[in-house]
Amino acid sequence: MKVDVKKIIRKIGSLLILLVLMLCMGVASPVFFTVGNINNIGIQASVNVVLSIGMLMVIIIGGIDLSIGAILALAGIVSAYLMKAGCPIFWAMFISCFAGAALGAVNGFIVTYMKLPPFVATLGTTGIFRGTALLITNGLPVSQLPNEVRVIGQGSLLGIPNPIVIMLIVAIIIYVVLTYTAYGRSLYAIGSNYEATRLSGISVKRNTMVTYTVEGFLAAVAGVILLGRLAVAQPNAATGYESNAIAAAVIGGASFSGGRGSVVGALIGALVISVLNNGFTLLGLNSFVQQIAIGVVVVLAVFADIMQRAKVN
Amino acid sequence: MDKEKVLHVENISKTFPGVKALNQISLDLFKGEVLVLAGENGAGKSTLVKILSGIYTADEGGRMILDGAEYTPKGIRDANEKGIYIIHQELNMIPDMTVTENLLLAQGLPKHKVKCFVNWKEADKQAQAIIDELDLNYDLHAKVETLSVANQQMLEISKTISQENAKVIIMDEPTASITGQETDKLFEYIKKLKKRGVSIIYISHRLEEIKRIGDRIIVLRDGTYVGEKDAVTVNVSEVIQMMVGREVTQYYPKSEHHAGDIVLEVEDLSLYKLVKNVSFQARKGEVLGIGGLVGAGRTELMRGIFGADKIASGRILLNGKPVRLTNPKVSVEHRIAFLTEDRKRLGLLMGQDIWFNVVISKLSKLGQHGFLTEGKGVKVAQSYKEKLNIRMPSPKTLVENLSGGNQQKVIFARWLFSDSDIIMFDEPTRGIDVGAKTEMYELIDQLVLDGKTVILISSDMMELMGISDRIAVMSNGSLTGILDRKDFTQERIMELALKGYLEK
Repeated sequence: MKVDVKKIIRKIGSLLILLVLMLCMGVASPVFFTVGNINNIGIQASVNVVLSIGMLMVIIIGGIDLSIGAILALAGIVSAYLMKAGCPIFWAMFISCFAGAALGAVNGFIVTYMKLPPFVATLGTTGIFRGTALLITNGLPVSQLPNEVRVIGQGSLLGIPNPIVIMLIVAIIIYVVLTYTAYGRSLYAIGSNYEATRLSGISVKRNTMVTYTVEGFLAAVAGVILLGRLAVAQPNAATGYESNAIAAAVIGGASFSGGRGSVVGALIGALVISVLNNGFTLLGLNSFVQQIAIGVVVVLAVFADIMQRAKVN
Repeated sequence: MDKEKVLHVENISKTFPGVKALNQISLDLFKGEVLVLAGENGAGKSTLVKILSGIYTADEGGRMILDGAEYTPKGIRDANEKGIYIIHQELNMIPDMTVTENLLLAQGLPKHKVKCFVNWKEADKQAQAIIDELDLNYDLHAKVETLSVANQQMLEISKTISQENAKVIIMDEPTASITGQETDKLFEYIKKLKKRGVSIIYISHRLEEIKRIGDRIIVLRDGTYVGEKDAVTVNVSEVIQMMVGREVTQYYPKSEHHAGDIVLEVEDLSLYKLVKNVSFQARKGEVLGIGGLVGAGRTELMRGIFGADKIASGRILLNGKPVRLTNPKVSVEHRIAFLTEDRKRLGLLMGQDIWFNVVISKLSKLGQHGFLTEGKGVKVAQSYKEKLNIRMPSPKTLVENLSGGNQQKVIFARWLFSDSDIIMFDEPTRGIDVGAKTEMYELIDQLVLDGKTVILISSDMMELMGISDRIAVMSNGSLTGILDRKDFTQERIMELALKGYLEK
């Protein structure tokens, strides 16, 4: 039972950071705890949450995906072009998600069958995907989209903004997959010990391939949210978003050596980053300081985790 | 031969936790002789030479004298400086560097007039001189990884024997991976070394080499000195006689087994490395032991059958039907299990809970349509905790916190849970304590009584004879014979284990 208590503390660790941060911001700014502002934080967080949950899955199997920002941009452009060509908005978005999945599958193929290290593989595909997005748009934003596209980004369901609804749906689905399915559990096994997992009779290659594909799909979902908020598709969208996604997963307890991490953790991690952003803006602090603060939180959160593990052992 | 003593070893012992690897060994090494060390797996040969070469420190109480001076090497470098060198079985080359760089790695590359630059001309000259000794013709600027394993081994040998200050050179299975022609070159050179007054300690499975190159032969068994023979006049059966003859110190629980139908047939199986044309059959309700020396290809054979490595030719039949076990997943679906020797690297998921380690091979059994719950997994692990007497705080403990024996039981539970019919064990009792060993034997016995087929690799001959119904012996990649229980003798098994090395 002792061990379980420690596990709970470990899980609460990142939640504690979030709560303390929120409390500080609440004290410093009277606006922070208003419904409007909380919604704002949620909407701001939504894109990063969806990206970081995908990133989390890849990190659990011991991989990394640097190309999610590029996938997001390219999928958004596919969506925008389809809309302009007269495709119904829902279908355009739906199709673009599968385009994202296809791009993710390319990553998966390079990693599993061409056997490139994930870092290098996705560094390469970042160039390919981003370059393609710039090439087909001539580097220009695709705008003047049908007005209904804003429903996704600016509408709401039962009073909850749509981006938050989508984010929660993704989080719940992936939580269930990782916790209650054979596929999801096998990702932890692959990350812990690839060869032992293979010798246990698990299809390690297929599951790795599927994971990168899901990651691509989720990057495109994030692209849909962003498109809905801005009503314009930019080939340069989401540059650098991969580092925020990695930061969120890591603050939430994911381990870069694989085998560890949770959806709840990634969700909290992404919220920590958003609260920092939001709070700094409310307090009128220099936005460059935000970046420093996020960096400090990443280092401290991971350091605390390492210390805790050292104590357990 | 002049009888000048180079090295005197007196009462050397080495204790590892739970094992006495060497017990009061004394021996003398004379100038310019080739002393052969013989003994089966675990006899203590490797431990002894590791002490001589400074890799291990001996227990207190013994002493070594090198050329009249007390010799207590602080490490391999210290041993080298004092004139004792070892050529390892494993290659110590840096694959990405060139032949020249590797040859001069230990002594350092020669410097240019301007000190921070390397004098490559001089380096190549020195390297060429080294390989000329063994009459090798390699491109000095080729990366070592482009050379064959045999050539790398020759390079390793030439690197060591070129040392000017060498008094004693230890060769641990130097010919394991080289060709006959290269062996001839090596032996020619050993003769030169002898003339120079260098002494050689030589370890080999190949008994015919011992007669060709050796002067004296010393046999070890269970870490103790058994006896000494003249290497020229001794015959092979005498050596085998001395190598075996171990006493039974462990109790091996074994019921009477009634073997049933043939379950697994392996026909003419060859792999891309080592294993050649192996055929055997295994029956329901029996323990088929696989004997042989370390490096005979036993693990490789198991990996080939299990689909962990690709097979080159041959076929496998399960219950009379040919099957293609192309990867471990297929094998597991055919109810074959493989418990690897290296638990940490190839068996356990170290950062994960015990229950997850138990159910990993058959996640589908925890629920339908790919869904499962942790609760069910914990219950499964709990049930095996009782069945196998696994000592663990809770199924939600990390598996890395268990002792070796209990970790082995967790893997055991994994393959019981996956309903395996054919269970292949690779050194299942290595690194676990005596009590856990006996429990492991009882579990294996129970498996067989339940009608399973057990295939068991063990380098411990007493264990192999104690729990097997039949023993198939491998030697140098081939299967050299299968013995029934009534024909088990240590001599017979050792003969078969050495056979493949004699017929080279």
